[in-house]
Amino acid sequence: MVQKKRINLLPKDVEYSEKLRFLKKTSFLVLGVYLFLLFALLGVTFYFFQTESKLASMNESLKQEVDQYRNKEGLLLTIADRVGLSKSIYGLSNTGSIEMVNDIMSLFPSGVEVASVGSKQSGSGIVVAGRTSSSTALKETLDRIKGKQFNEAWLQNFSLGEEGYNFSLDIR
Amino acid sequence: MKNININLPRKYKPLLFPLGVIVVILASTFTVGMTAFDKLQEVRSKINNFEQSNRNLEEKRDYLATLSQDELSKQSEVATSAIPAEESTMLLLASLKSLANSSNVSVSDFNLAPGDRKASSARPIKIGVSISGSLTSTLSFIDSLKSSYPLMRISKLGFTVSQNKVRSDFSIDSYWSPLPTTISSTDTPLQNLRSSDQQLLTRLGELKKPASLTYTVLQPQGRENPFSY
Repeated sequence: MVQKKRINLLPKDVEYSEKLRFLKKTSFLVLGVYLFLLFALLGVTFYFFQTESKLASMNESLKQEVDQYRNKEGLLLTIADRVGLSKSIYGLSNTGSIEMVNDIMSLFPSGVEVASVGSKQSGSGIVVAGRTSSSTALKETLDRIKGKQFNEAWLQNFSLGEEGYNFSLDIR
Repeated sequence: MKNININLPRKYKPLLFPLGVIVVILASTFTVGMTAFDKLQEVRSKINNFEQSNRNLEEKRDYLATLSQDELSKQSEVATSAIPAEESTMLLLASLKSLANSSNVSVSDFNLAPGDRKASSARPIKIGVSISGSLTSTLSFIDSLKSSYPLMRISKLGFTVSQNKVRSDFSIDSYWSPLPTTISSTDTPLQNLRSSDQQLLTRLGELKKPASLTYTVLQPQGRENPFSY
């Protein structure tokens, strides 16, 4: 097979100027892209700064509008503060509920004399001391206690004296 | 001056200057670009903050505009009557005396002890009261304690019954708390009252003011100017 030989007959300067032209084109292209990116960056920066300044002035005017209601806000703060405190107070257990006293009193039929009722130091439960001369009344008291939904009810210090039965009840 | 001899083919030597310029431009673009990018991020975060703040402010403005100043004043008065801003023992004494009178029980003993004054929540005043009267009157007194200003909690109760007369010993906690002194910044969102808070406020509004705490302003009588002759 005959191998063809290529011979570049152009002068070497022409080849060089071709390369230079290519470089020039590429340079312009790079410059174009660079300028485009630069202007895009400038545009975005300008837009962001404009938006920021618009929002800042809007923020200022809104603050002034809200400041007009500062008095109302103060009152609202006071109310919220007091309501929060009241809630915590109402959340604490109340020993002396009228329902509880009524409940205890309803335990004792006529013939039972309630000597004392007191809440315990620990705050859970009450101690009722009483006396009765009738064993039927005492039985009825115990039956009534059974009928109530107490967690625990203990009959303590039960004794028979001259005036009848003395007892104390520990109710929880 | 010594010439710098760069060992480069002659034909590439004219490319050195534009290449240098390109490198400088790229380097400065990178530096400036990074700085600008950082700045943009900063502005973007500021914009987000402003947007959030504006939303809060708009909500706050709209909500506050709907509230009535008179209604808020009334509610604030109710709330501060329930928990006074000052530790007023005289107020408590007057209140308990008035409640005892209206319940038809007699106060036989009364003592006061201040609670923890540095407590962050409601600060208690511990009151010991002994009353005597009929069972119905005692129950009425207990009921009135729960339904009167200022808020009181019975922490301990004991009573002794003898000959249809009940002697009761109460340990009562009354509460006070200084009013809030700092108000949050304008753009902080409001803590709106929930429906449970509104219900509690209504409940507080239903509490009664003890009789002796209700004052009637007397109209001036006699001479218009007492210093004139």
